[in-house]
Amino acid sequence: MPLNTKEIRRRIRSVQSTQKITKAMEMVAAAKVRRAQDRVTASRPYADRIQAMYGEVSRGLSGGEARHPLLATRPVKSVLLVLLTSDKGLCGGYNANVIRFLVHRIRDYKAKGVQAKVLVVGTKGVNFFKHASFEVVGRIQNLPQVPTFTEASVLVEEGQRLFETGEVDAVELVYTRFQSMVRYEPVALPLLPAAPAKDSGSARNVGPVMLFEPDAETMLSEILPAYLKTMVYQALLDASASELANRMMAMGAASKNAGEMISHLTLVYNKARQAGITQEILEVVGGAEALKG
Amino acid sequence: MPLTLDVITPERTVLSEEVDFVSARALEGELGVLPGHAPLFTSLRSDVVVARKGADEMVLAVMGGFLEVAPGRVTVLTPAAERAEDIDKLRAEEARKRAELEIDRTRTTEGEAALARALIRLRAVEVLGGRRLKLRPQA
Repeated sequence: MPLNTKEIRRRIRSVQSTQKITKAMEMVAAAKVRRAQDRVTASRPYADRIQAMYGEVSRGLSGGEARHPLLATRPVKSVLLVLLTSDKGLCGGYNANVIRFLVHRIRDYKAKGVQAKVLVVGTKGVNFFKHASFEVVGRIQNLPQVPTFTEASVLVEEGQRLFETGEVDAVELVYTRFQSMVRYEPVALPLLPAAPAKDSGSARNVGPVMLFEPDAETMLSEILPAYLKTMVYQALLDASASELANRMMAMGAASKNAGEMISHLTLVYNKARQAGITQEILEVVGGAEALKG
Repeated sequence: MPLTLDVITPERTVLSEEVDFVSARALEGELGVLPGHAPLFTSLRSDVVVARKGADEMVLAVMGGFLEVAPGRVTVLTPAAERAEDIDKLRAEEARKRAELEIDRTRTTEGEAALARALIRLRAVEVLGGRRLKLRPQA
């Protein structure tokens, strides 16, 4: 028994209006993701210079006396995981993936006897942890849509505080790395203790020795926080680009599904209409036959 | 041999230009860089950075950060920087008033940071204005 035609028409209209919304969201996300990518590119010169200078300063220190508190490695008994999620939904598996990744990580730590504490960023993550029994040390919601350096600073300062007071022995940032429009994956980036600078090699070794004012040690404690903030800032940009790319893909898929649904429903509608007409003809013919008879 | 001055923030490159001289306020006092300066790395205080090229002057409000001198190149890495001519004096003035009110009301460090930012921007405008007057031919 086919649905009656009026019912089907209504379904089609409802799917059509949903498709309009998903299409619009897809286009908005596409425009935003492009700008988010530009921001990732724009942040690179700063990050590269800061990293290079961190290397220079480390080289300037003759090793032994460089015991900065942020570089201190302790036996890890507890770890702070900073989780980046989005405030808004409708972005496919974006939040689910990064949260699943985090939960696995917490399990792994537990198995090793390490206590895991979580600092959640984003409404979606906060909502998840309402119902999950993990230790949450902080919640941050409603960050500006376009991340700025200020948010990165806030996160670094909070992590630094917990690390320096000895409440945690390591800090990790769990976020979604943006690789391309179709590839993004959750990753864990170790923040603290800060990794010693990589010796980028010979390029600068030929030049004259760099002066540090007032001295290399002071400059190390100046540049370390800046270095960490830069890493977190780039992670924030990556996460936001991933979120938008995810949303664009999800909304693209939704628009496509809506299109399929509409063509299917149209078919059903036409069949029902045909059946109705046939039925009517049969009735008329039948009636006429009966009168003749 | 000219110097290339780059002023870079995490968000964008504010300035990248050839200059003859750069002056900034470092952690331990005023610092001038001429071509041929020895490689140096230091912290900057939030203040005005002035670069000179011939008779032209460029004035920037810089919110802390770092200054790196390499052969032929000066790089300012800062969380935020603005060219003086891009600063809206009225808006900076308003920001200053707002920050002062905020400090009166809440006594938080946030208000003070905002005030410091507003004051530097105003100073940048003033410095730029002052130099312009000096350079203008007598009428």
